[in-house]
Amino acid sequence: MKNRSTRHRNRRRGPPHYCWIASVLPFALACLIPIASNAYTAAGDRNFPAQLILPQIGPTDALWLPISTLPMEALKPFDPIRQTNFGGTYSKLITEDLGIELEDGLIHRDRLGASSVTGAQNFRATLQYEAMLDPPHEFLLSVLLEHEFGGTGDPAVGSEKHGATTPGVTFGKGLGDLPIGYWRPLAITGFAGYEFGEGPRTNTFQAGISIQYSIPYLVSKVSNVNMPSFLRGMTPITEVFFANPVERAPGQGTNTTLVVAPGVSYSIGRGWELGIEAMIPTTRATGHGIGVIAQLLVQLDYLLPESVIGRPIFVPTELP
Amino acid sequence: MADGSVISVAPDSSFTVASYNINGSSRRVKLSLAQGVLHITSATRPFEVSSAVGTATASSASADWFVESKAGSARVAVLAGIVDLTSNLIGQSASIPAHWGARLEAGRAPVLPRVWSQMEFNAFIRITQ
Repeated sequence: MKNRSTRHRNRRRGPPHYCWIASVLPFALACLIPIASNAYTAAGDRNFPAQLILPQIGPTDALWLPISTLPMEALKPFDPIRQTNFGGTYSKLITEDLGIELEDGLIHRDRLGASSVTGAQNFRATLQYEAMLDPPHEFLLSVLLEHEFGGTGDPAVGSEKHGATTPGVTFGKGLGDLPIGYWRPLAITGFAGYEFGEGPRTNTFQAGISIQYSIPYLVSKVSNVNMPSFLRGMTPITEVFFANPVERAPGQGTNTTLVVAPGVSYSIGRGWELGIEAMIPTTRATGHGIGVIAQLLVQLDYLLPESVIGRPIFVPTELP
Repeated sequence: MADGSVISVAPDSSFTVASYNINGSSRRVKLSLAQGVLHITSATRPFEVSSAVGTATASSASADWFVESKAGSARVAVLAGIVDLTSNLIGQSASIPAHWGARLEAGRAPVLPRVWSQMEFNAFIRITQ
């Protein structure tokens, strides 16, 4: 998931907890920057676009390549003034409902009064199971279990020495089954998870929601509105991500981080999807300045549908 | 069919052969599906099936696919090959690869294709056996 980045990096500074939390707060938004991206998936005629900040709402066969950059508030020499992430996530279906995601990436930090530094983030793996799918109501719900392998990244860019495990739930709901006319292209997705840190890492509650208005859905299910062709693939989307460490530093106010990410996703159903969003911190603890994230999604199940890369490893029996 | 294509027809389906030309370089097969479901293993390109709302065209040399026509909509699901689904009214099309499907409603653009589950394919296989 993406947000994992957040949680993990929150603790990068190591023990003691409270000092660590306090020192890392200014960098919390950077943690929100997904190194992994999220997938697209569908429920009935509703295609949910790939999300850039929140975790994917269902497993799939795909590859995500996100890149993000975010200004940061440097308080002292060697603090980062800008962090740029280059990520890659490979998602593979094991069965039609169960998938695994493997995620890694590079972090580049420009620092105050020092040369920039580049290093690897921690490797992460996620199992995700689509537990509910209701096509007529455009609803799906998945459960996931993500693990960050501590010590697999470069501490110089904040990769944690200690790992963390996060169980969570994701959902997507399209409003196309409701009698609401031109509001039917609206959809809502959500995520909630609890990160259990290893060793000195604190636990963190995370949640998020997105609201999206699908133009492809509008022109295919509601009304063939006359508009320029490039607009027909657009889905304006706003994601909101929230993280709250369970433990707080003495004397500190809330450590809650909240980022709002308005943007747009573009897809014409040809096996790829492009998304771009601004990342706007909304609390002091969240960060400093507005960042940008962009992501290319390659749908392997569309481009290589008859290979093992584009199909689940185990598929149900086809009728003779 | 003489070109090697095989068509299985679901009960209560109604279709006609609009054109059938498999000679020379201009090979072309065109069916018109009024209602129901066809399971087509096509060996000719292009192999077209038109309905009231749109036209499905197998664009790969061979394809194994289903087309359903109902009042006001059509669906295409592909087991092998590539099939294009084009709206009759606005001309916009969707390209559907193997294991994917898409719906088209009257006067609108095709819905973005999506992966179909084996259960969905089995429902079509069952009624066309």
